[in-house]
Amino acid sequence: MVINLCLPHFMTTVHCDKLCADGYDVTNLVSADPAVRRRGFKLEYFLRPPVQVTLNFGFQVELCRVDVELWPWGMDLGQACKRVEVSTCPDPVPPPSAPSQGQTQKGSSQKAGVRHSGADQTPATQQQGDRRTTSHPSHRYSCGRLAEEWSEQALDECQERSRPYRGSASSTATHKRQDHHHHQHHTNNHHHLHPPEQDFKMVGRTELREETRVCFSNPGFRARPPFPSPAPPAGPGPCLREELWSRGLLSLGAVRQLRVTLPFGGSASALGLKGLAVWGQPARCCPAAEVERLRGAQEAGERPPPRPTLFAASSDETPPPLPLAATCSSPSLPEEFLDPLTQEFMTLPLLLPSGVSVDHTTLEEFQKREATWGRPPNDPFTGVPFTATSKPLPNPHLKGRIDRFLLQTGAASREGALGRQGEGVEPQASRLLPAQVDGKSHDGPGREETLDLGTDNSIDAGRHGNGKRLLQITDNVSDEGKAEHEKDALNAQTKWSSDGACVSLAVRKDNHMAFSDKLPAPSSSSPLNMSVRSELEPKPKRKRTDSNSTPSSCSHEERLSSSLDEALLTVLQGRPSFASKPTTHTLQRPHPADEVPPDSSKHTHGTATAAPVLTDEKQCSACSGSLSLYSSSSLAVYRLSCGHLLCRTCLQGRCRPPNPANASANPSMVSCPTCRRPTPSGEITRVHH
Amino acid sequence: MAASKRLQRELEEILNSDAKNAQNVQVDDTNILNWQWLIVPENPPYDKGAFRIDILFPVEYPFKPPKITFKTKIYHPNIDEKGQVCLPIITSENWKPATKTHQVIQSLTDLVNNPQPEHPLRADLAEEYVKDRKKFLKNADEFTRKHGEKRPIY
Repeated sequence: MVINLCLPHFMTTVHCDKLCADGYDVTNLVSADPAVRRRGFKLEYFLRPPVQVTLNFGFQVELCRVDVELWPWGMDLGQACKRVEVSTCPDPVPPPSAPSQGQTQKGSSQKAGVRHSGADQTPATQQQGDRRTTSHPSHRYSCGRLAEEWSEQALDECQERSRPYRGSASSTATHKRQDHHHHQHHTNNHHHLHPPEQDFKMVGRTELREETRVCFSNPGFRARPPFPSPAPPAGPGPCLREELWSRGLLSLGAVRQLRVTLPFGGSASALGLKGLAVWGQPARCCPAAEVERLRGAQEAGERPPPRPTLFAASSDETPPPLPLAATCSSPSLPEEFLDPLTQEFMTLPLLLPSGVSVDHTTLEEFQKREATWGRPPNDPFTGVPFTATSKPLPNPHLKGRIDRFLLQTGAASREGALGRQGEGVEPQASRLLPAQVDGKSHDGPGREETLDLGTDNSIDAGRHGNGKRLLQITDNVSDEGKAEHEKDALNAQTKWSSDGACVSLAVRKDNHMAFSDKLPAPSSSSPLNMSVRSELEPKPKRKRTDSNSTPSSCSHEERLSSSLDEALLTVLQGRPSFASKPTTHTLQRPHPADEVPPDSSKHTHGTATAAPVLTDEKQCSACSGSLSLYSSSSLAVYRLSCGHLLCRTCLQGRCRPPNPANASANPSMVSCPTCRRPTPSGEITRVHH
Repeated sequence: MAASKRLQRELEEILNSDAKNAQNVQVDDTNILNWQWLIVPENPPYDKGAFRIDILFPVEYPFKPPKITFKTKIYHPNIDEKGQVCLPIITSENWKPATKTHQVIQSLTDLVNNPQPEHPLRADLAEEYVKDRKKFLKNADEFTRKHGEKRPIY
C-alpha cells in the first residue's frame, strides 16, 4: 500500500506563497477533516498566477504519484491553458531563521516574468535584488525562491541542451540565463548560511487545456515492505497522465519538500488546487523506526476508512447533474403533496384564497419579497391582497394526508418533514450495558433489567456480565424470603468468583414454579423475555445495593404496560381524569402489603410483586370481580376518593346500606370496603376504560 | 435547492407536453439554472430564421425572475444590440412565482412576433417600425436571413 502523504496522520505541512481565499486556505489540502480537504484551496480572487504550494513532509519520501486537481475551467475553457509544475527538494525546511516558505509575491511574480516574458524583465529583477540587499539586512530572501530559480535555470539549460521547449528562441534562453546568474549572485551573497542543496528540481510539468486533473507518476517506483502491494488507486474520470522525470537520485527517491506551481493560466477561472494527493513511501534511507512509526500511523489512519482517492472523492461532488438524480424519486410522490411553486414536499400546507395550497415557507419567502416592493401580503397566484376574511389558512386535511403518506411509505427522510424522527429510535443491543445500569443504580429500588436471554443463559449472561456480574433471577421476593435470597445471592457470588468461568443464576426455588408456569424454562430453545436483576457493583457496594433494592420484579409485559400507563398519565395530566387509575399514585405507593390482603394477591397473581397493586386496581373492592378492560363483564366501574374501585352493583348496594343508623349518620357517604375510608357520593367518579 | 426541483419539474412538463417545444430547449448538464431556447417566430419578418436565447435562473427562483438574453442578433425594436429584452412579466416588480417558464417563452415569442414600438429599447428601430413599416420589414428580413439561426425542421 502506497501511502497518501496528504492524509493528516503523516504530519505533512503545507504552505502557499500567496493569500488564500477565505475558507479555502491551503491547509485544507492536508486537513484532518475530509470535508475540509475536499473543499480545496483557492487563491484570493484578485490574485493572479503564479502560485506555489509547497508540501513539507516529515520524512524522506520516495514519490510514486502526484495527483493534482485544478478548479474547473471558467469562460476561458478551450482558449487558454494552465500549466502545472511539480518540483521537489530533498532537504527539509530550514530553521525559522531563514524561512524558506516566506516567499514574497514579488519574488514569484518576478520569477514568472522571468520565465514567460523573457529578458525584458531583467532590469526590474536586478533592481529588486539590489533593493533587497540594501533595505533588508535581516533578509527574508527565500531559499525556496532561490531553489526555484536554480531549478528553472537547470531546466532551461537542460532544454537548451536537449530540446528547446515550445520552440523558445535560444536568444531568450541566454538572456534568461544571464538573468538567473544575477539572481544566483545576489542570493549567494546574502545567503551564506543557506545550504546550497536547498534546491527544488522540477520533476514534472504539463499544460492543461481542457482537463482539470493531472497525474504525475514515477515510472521507476517500486513498492517495498512494509508498504507492499497495490499501486495507489487510480483516479477515475478524465485525467491527464504525465511521468515524473528523474533529475538525480534524490529528486524522486528522497523528497522532503514538494512544490506544485501554477505559473500562469486560467485568468477567468478560480486559481488554486481543488485537490492534491501525493502518493509515496518512505525513502530507502529512512530509519527503520521511522518506517515502523509510519506504518502504525497508516494503519491507525485506515481504521476509519480513508477517503478512497483524491479524485474519487472530488468526483463525488464535481459532477452536478444531481438535479436529475434528485427528481428520480419524485414521481412516486403524489402531486398534491408538493408545493406548486417550489416542488418541495410541504411540511405545513396553507390553503390560499385562490384554492391552492402552498407550504408556509414558500408563502413566507414570497411575502418577504413582496414586502420589498411595498405590497401587502397577497396571494402568490392571483396577487389579491389578503383580508381578514380571505387569508391563508392551515390545511389540516392535506397535512394529515401528507403525514400519513410519509409515515406509511417511510419517505420522510427529508429533514423536518416529520418531527422527532430517526433520533432516539435506535434499537439497543442490550439493556444490560454497564453505562445504563450505572445510571440506573441511583434509582435505588427496582433495579431490574430486562434481558433477552437466548438459548443459553450462561453464555448470554457471561457475555454481558463481563466476568463481574452476577445475575439473579428473582421473583416475588417477600420480606421473609429476603434473607434467604441474600444468602443465595452470596452463595452464588462466591461460587462465581471461585470458578470464575460460569455465571450462576440464583433462582429462588420457591418462586421457580410460579415463574416457570408463566415463561418457558430457561433451557428451552426459544428466546425469552425475563426479568433479571443484575448486580453490577463490586463486592464492597453489594451490601448497600441489596439492602436498598426492593426485591420486586415483574414481567416485561407488566413493565411495558405500566410504562405506557405512566406515559399516558403524563400526557393526560391537567385534564379531567378519565384514565382508569392514577398510575403514578399507585406506583409511588409503598409496598401494598398492608393494604391488600396478602392471600388475594397470592391466589390471583403469585408471579409478580407489582401485580397486587395492579390487581387491586382492576378488581372490585367489594365483590373482587375483575374489572379490567379485558374482563367479560361490561359493568360500569366507579372509583372512590381513596382510589379503590367498585362495580356498579356493589356501589348501589353500599349507597343503600343495610344499617339505617349508619345511613342516617352519613347519608351521602360511601365507605370503601377495602380501606374503610368514607367517600362523599359527589366524589365518586365513573371510570372509563 | 428549491430552484432545481422546480426547474426539473418545469423541464419535465415541457418535454412531456409539446414535442415542438421540446426540441427547442437545451439545458446545461452541469447547471440546471442555465437554459437555452430556440425561439421560432411565425410572423414576418422573423419567420425566416430562429433565435437562440439564454435563460439564466437565479438560485432564488421561483421567487426571483429568470434573466433572458438573445444570443442571436435580431432586428427588433424591443431587443437591443446586446440581446437584452424588456419583457414585462419577468421584470422584478411584476414577477409572480407561479409563472412558468413556458409562459415566459410564450410571452417572449409574442413580443418577437408583434413588436411593441411604444416601449422600445431601440428607439431608432421603433421609429422606423412606426413610420416606415416597409423599410423596417425589409431590413429586418435581411437581418434575419443574415444572422438568424437555422429554423428547426419538425
